[in-house]
Amino acid sequence: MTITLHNISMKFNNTTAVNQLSVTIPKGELVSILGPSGCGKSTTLFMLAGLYEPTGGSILFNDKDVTKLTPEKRGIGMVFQNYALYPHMTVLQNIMFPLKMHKMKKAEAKKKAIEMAKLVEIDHLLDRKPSMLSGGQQQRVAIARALVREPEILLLDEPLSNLDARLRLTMREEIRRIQQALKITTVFVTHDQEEALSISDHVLLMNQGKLMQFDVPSNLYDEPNHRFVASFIGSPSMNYFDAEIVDGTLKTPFGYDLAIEAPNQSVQIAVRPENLYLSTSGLKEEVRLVERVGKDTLAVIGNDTAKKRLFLQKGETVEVGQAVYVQADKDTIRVFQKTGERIYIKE
Amino acid sequence: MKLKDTAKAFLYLFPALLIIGVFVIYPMIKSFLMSFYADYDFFNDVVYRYGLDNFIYLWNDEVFHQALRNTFIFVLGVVPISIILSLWIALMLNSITVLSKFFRTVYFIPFVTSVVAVSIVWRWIFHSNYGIMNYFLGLFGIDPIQWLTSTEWAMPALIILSIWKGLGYNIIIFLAGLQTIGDSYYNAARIDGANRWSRFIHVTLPQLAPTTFFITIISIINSFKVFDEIYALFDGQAGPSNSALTVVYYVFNKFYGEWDFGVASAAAYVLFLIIFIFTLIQFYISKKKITY
Repeated sequence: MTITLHNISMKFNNTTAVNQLSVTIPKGELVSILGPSGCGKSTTLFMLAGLYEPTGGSILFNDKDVTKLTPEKRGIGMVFQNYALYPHMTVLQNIMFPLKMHKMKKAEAKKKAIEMAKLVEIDHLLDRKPSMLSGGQQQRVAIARALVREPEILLLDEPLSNLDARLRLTMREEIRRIQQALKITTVFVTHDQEEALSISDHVLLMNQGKLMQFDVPSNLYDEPNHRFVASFIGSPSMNYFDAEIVDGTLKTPFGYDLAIEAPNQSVQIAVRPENLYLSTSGLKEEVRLVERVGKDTLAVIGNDTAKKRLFLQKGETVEVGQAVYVQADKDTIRVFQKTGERIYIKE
Repeated sequence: MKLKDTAKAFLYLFPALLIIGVFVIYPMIKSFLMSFYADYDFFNDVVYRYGLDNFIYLWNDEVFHQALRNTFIFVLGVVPISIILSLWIALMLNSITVLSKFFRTVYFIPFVTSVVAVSIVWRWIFHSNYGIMNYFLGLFGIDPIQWLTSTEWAMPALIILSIWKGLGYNIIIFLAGLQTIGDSYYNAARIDGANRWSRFIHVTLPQLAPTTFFITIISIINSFKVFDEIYALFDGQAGPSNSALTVVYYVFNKFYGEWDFGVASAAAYVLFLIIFIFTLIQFYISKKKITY
């Protein structure tokens, strides 16, 4: 089912949690809503679920306006952050609950629930109470309960945040596997960019209630359309260099100029740590710190107010306090206005 | 070290233990023994014979039977209605946002007000000629009821007063219980397609079960022990021709009225046994039903 958000807004008293958000989520895709805490991502999900009614705009499922429809009637499945399994019911009763609410016959409901339990691999736990399950198992029960009615939309609200690091990896692959198996349109809220970038078809990046970029994960990383996106995505974070545009020419700190169609202004050039490299020419900086990150060696250069990070190539060594020249290639630099908007360089 | 800690703890507990010992433990033991006094000279505090005579007396005493009957009617009349009503009011109070503190206070006032003062007001409310109750009933064309002076209406009047009196406490406990139920359960239930009634049945009630259990036990125990309301409402009587005589009132009459300490103690222990059995049954049921 295609989900269309048209200019939706949500105001709580005086604060605007979601501001004029418009986006179309394609059918059968897994889309992550990503952003820092308080950016309105959960609010957006709750509006999709019908638990909040937007204060402005409209929500369409396959061209059908559902803005005013209550959650009971939207026919969606949802997994909550704390799973919200009914503590007094067994696993089987939990999974059967949505079917029971829709007046399905008991035998049939049981059959379907067991089928679903098999899909999420918890069919050996059917008689347990939620309190007797581990976090990962509770998660699976919650997914089974959300999917048992075969909804056309699955919503997940930070489903992995209560799990430990190892389990998180397994469960996110599980979610992807189940989503692919059922071809269900899935919206997944997370504050963990690695999670979002690794399993999503599209990522919806939000900040302060606004849509920043809706794109495929690789574009979010390589072609950020705003300085916020550039800074938010990627770890270690983006490096910034001050530069000037004078008469259609961008004067880079790396010693070369680029033709650019933009009025005269101060801009910032962004370069990813892996695209910055040591050279014999370019920008001169002092090495402040060298640290080993897994298989890579990360060097921190610059002064206190403007630190930059770069990964050393194999065989390269630098000493703390040493002066080095750093360089970045033309096709790897991204230019942003002082206000944050991207200036595109013509090829 | 351990002994020293224990001694220290005991020292701290001693003042409280002393008071509890003198005013609770000693009377309990003493009254237990008293219930077996068969032949007793209370001027000289000499017991000539111990025996089950007091219990046999109770077994045959019509008045005690009536007290038991009245007590059970009272418990059955008060507890279920009080619990249902207070749960309903708690649900309403939980869902209002404006003036919620004010309304909570209003409902709690009966609980903190003195029983005697409350009963005097209710005596006026129940008054057969000038009472507001009969006035309202009159609006619906119902003839005046002799609330406090007829044998068949004394007990209903007492039950109405007691329900009203206990509401505030039950409501506060229910409200506390309701607030422990997370919103996410209601949200999940809505997503699962549960309407308002289904959410109440499948989310609120089961998760409120421990609270309901607590309130049931407390209400039953309190109702079995009813006394002050009767004393104040019927002006020191147990209702017209003992129509509101309860077990505690019977104990009171035997003890202070007839100075029959043995029978009074025996009756008190019969009541204790009844309450004890009820509580055991409830614990047994709750262990089977409340399992999470």
